[in-house]
Amino acid sequence: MSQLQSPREPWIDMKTLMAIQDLPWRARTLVDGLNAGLHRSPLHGFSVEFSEYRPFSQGDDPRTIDWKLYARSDRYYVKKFEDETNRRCYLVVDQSRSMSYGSIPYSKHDYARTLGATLSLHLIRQRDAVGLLTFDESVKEIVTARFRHGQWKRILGLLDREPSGNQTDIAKPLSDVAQLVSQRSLVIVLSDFLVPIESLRVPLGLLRARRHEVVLMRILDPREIDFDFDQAAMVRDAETEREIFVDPSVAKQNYLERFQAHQRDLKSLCESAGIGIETLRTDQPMDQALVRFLSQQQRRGTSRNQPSEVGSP
Amino acid sequence: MNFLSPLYAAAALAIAVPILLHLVRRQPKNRLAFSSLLFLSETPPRLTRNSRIENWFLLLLRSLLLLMIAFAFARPYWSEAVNTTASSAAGKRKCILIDQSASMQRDGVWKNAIGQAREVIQSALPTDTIAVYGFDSQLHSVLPLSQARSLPIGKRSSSALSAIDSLNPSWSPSDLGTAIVTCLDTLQVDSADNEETHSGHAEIIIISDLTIGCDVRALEQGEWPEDTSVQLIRAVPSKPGNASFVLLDPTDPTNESGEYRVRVSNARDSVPESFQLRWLNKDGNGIQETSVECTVPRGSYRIVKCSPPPEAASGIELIGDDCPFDNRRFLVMDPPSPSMIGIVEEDGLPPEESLAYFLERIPLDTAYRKVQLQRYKPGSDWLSEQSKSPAWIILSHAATLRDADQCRSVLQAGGYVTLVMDRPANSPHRDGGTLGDQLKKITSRCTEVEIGAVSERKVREFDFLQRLEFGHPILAPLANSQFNDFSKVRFWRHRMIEGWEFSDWRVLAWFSENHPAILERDAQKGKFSVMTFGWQPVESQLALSSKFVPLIAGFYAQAQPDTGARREWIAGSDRAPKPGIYSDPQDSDESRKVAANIDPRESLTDPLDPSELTRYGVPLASDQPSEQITNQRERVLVAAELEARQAWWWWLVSACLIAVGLESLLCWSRSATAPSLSLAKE
Repeated sequence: MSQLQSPREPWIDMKTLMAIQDLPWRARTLVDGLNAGLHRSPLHGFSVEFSEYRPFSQGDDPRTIDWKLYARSDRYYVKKFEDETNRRCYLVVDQSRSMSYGSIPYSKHDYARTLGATLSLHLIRQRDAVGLLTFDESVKEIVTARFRHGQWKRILGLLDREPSGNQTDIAKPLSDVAQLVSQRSLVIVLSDFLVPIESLRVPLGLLRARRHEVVLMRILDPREIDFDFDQAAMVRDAETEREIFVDPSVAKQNYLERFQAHQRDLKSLCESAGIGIETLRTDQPMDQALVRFLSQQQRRGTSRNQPSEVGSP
Repeated sequence: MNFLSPLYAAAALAIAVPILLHLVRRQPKNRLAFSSLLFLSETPPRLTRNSRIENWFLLLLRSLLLLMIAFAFARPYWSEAVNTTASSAAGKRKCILIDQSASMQRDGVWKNAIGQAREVIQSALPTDTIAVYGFDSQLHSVLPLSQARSLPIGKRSSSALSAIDSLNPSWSPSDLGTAIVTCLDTLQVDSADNEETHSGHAEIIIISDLTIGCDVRALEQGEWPEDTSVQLIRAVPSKPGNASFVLLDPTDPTNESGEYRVRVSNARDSVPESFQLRWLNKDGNGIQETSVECTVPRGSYRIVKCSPPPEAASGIELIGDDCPFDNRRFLVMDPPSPSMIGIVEEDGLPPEESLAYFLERIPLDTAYRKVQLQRYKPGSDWLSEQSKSPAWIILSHAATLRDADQCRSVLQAGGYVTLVMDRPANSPHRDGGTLGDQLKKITSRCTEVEIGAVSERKVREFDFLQRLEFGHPILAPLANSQFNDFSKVRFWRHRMIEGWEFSDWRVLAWFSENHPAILERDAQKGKFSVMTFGWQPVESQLALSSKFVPLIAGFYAQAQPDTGARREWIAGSDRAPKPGIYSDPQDSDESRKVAANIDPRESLTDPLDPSELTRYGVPLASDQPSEQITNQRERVLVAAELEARQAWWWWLVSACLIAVGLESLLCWSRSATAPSLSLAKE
């Protein structure tokens, strides 16, 4: 992770970028867009990608009739083409205090913004419009998704800010995102999701109902996963400042059970809502995880026969 | 080993604190931030299973420290044989005063009192001198102090016990104050008699029911001696409460129906609240037909009207009270005695000029007397016509020297004569001369004292009485500020006497310019008074004013003092040892009886507050026997002396200081060498 301290591009992990540059993040669903891009457009038009033949019916534009086929078969067929477009991506980055925790020399927030910067650069390179939302207990900053010059610098500027919020309330910012982003987009949420599962159910459902494609990138410190403390201590909540006495030898088992149950619940919630989720440990290089994740996405995105949306009409 | 203040040793329990602290796992000093407490719950501090061996010494040191502090504060000392002062060897003087008053007749009180007295005697030291007295209205010596002192030491308590057995409650009222004062005098006399041997401290032990009826006013006098204390022991009745009653004066002139008014009071701690009152016949049995129901709430009283007493009733009885000692009051129903007022005045005077006309209209009759006004013709031989000498003779302007001579014999018999100068002094008298001369002669004849000339005073418009001597029995009923204003009563004319100052006349009232209005003096065995005015309307407004009736009643009471009051004795005296009806040995008429009843104060059985006695400076000891207190005090003094001499606490406190130093040193060295406990936050 020496790249983190790279002076030129502070929040870019070149190694990761190199690893994923051959892995285009394709949209799993149809994407509205102006520019030509990687993703399937809901609009049919004249393009290079053939889609299907369909018998002509009254009302069809006669210009779409494949006259060659008519010559061969003496029937009117309409030839349809796939259009390709770019899409809007929103990176939603948690900047609450809990993200500032790190048992290793860098925090979860450092990891998250590196990931965010890397992803945004990657998406921009694949000609997608990328925007950014940061939040703690509410939405803090917003950069509307655009595909234009300087967009990436703007995103980096916002990512540069330190976490400040006193509490994490993902539910409200996510609901706000659902309100703010009207067009169908890819919403990538970078957070630790250390909140009760029930509070996530409604906003995530709302996002999905708005036909956004949602991906949760869960960033966790290794201590949060393993809870390998060895001495009793007064443990202070990074956000609420509440202090309780914890003896790890007693509390560890309980912690792990509750954490894993939370993890399981989150996963099943995502599965049922058709949301992708990837857990990233801050002590592990993000390239491996991203490559794994994007490979899966790509497999799904390129297989055109699979149902376009899960859980939506 | 003993302790001066052993309670402080309880502080040794504080060693539990360091032990617990050592057992409790230390609350970590290190603090740790964590992203979220979502999956964490508080771990309760728990006791370590194995205390580490290196803490043992520290724990021992701290426990020892606390123990030593507690020990030092408890002031330990080794007991040694100490020569205490032999002050208590001579013993004390104890005077046991047992209340014998009528209220001790209540159920169980006497038994309780005797029991308590026995306890006091039995708990006394053999060297103590125990005197036994009983008291009711006065102190009765049963085993006097001088006699008790002469008894051999072994026999003192047994003599006191037998003295107590000889006591019985009487029917007298209780005068606790006099009893205490008399006992104090006895003690002082004893101290003076035995100056070389007496022990100093004396104790008066009062065993009484201590009701509010106890008279303690005698304690007002005198200083309380320093070496004498008083112990109060209250004897309690087996049944609380008491109802009592008092006959209100049946001579009330407003009561024409002849009903008797009785005030029935009920004590605060009584149980029953409804009672019956009935008359007793001459054998002392209740007459059921005369019973009257009444309900008296606790702590209050009611006035009950009883029917007129039947013939030969001997008293009245209260039924329904748990406490019967005061439920009967005896009464002697004498027929009203006839009494006479004689006035020397001619007949046929118009009412506005007559003295007798207004006297006749004054109701002086009561249930006990019947007052008759007799008009005597001036100059007649009226005294010899009467079988009984009149109590009060009034001489008007018409009186002659012959009348004066008869008045002299009345005065000699202890009678009362009033000369009313009810006509102008310069008017002619029928015996010749002026009336003034005649009045002067009559006065001189009656009193055998010469006075100056009696002349008419020139009154401008009117005069009124002033500087009245309300202390005199005649005017005493008018002394209250509601009645003592005589300035509204106008006198149109009056006489003046010269030379009265030279003989011992008492002036009861004055006119202006120092002219006496009413004068009185003793004359032979009786009394002679002079009014320099007349009360009839031609002379003054007095007869028509509201002052006239009380004034004449006052004169009559002066003339006939004894007849108005009901004859009653207080039971418990020699002539009437218990309530009942007695004949008076001093009375010539043997048929006349006297009722003896217990003092109404004895019926007030609500308990007396002991602070009532302390108000008079009586030093009360607590209920605990004072002997024990003194012994204990002595023991404490000895212990304090020993402890101060040995001063163990000093060594203990020094050891504590050393231990504190050692403990601090140990802790410091441990904290310096111990690895930091803070949790490394990487």
